[in-house]
Amino acid sequence: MPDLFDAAEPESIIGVSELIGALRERLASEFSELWVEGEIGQVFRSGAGHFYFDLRDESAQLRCVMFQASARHLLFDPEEGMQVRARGRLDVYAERGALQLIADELRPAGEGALRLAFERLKRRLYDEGVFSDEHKRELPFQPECVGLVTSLRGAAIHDFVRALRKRRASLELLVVDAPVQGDGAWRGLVRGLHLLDAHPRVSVIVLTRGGGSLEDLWSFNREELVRAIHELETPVISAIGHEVDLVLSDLVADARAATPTAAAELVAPDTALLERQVDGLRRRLVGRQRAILAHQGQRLEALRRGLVHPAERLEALGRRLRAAHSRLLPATQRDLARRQGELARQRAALLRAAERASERRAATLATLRARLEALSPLAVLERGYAIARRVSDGGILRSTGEAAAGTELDLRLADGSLRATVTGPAEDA
Amino acid sequence: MSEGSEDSAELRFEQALERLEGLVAKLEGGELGLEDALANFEQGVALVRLCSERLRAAELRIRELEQGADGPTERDLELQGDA
Repeated sequence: MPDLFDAAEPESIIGVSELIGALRERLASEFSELWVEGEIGQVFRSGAGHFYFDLRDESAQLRCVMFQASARHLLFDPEEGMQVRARGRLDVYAERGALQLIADELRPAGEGALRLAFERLKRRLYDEGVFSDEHKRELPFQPECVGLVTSLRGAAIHDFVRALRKRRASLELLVVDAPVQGDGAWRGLVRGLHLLDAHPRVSVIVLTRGGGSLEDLWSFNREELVRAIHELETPVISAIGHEVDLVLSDLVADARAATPTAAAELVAPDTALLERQVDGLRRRLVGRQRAILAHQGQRLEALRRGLVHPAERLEALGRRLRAAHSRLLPATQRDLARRQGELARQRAALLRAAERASERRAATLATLRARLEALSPLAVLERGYAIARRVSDGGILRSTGEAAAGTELDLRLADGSLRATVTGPAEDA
Repeated sequence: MSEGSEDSAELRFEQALERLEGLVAKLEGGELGLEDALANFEQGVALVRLCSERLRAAELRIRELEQGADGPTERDLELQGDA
């Protein structure tokens, strides 16, 4: 054991500050960026927003500080007992000679811790009613303009657009490029949502990214993002990760799609399907119209049959007339001949009758004449009698008293008359 | 028809489809006079044409929206590896 006083002078002696300074340099060059995993011990948050906490495991402990500039990007509230991973650089807090980690990022370590943070936030927002159905807005049936918040460098946008193209969607897609993972990604997402919400044409917003670990998807569990979605005017579809991934933006959104492709199917109706629908309606329309026309046509035909054009009617009458005429003519001729024969017979009969009558009359006349002649006064006159008549009145004298002297008389003899004048009665009478 | 086409310029596909469905149902319900049926039919045909045209004209326009210094700006967006 060397004698304290005999000991040789140390080759070099440095001051505390110098040592600490040298140490800080070494730390800065060798431990400038590292990830440390441990359980959070005591946590203290300063008024300025800095986080002070211990990271520990079974046998060691490390002081950590996260300054406000980094702390505001925290995905969760660090709590004692949480298993976390901290990224940062090692440094020495010179005043106290204490080793510390200047953390610029802090993440729950492992699914378990993240799950715990997730469940805690979910529970809190659920109790607040942020996820309740009464806040859900209806999606437009066929939006003309769709907003999309995603990363232009991600796979999700390609899946989404491919699905839209497959459905031959007719719409305008307005994309806001936003980081979809990492610290502070939620800020870009919220900005994108607000930008699209304020856009006059956008009628639905899709928030999407491809699958990833719970940690990758953590931005979509960020309380600020959940609240932003909750407060938007425009309906939001959240399509984050794969089928199994559930994030809080899915719960708060108006509709959840399992994948970006499913979101496209939700947002745009299938054109082929609509075409079939329109075609089906067209068929029904045309079929119905045909049936109506056929029915009316039948009615019309039935009516038409009852309706005869005057010319047609005239024609029919003409035909009947000609037929009647053609039958009439021979009949007339026959009739005429018959009538003529009859007439001839009648005439002959008449002539014969007339002759007979004439002969009979002649005979009767002769008889009558003979009888007449026998009775005629003229015949008496032939025998020498005369008829005396007064000239004045033609009266036949039957008595001498009927003619006074001086009366003029007409004496009718057989061959003529004599004029005589009465001179008076005869002596011998 | 001219009146119908003025209407239809403003008509969204969804509304046209709904109206068409109503017309077909009305026609199928019967009890329409021939003139009404014909008028409905013509209107229906115009709606079918409108719907078909809308579907045929199906086009996807992709644009990028950004918050610029003077407010939001839009520009056409070409996606790589996506025809």
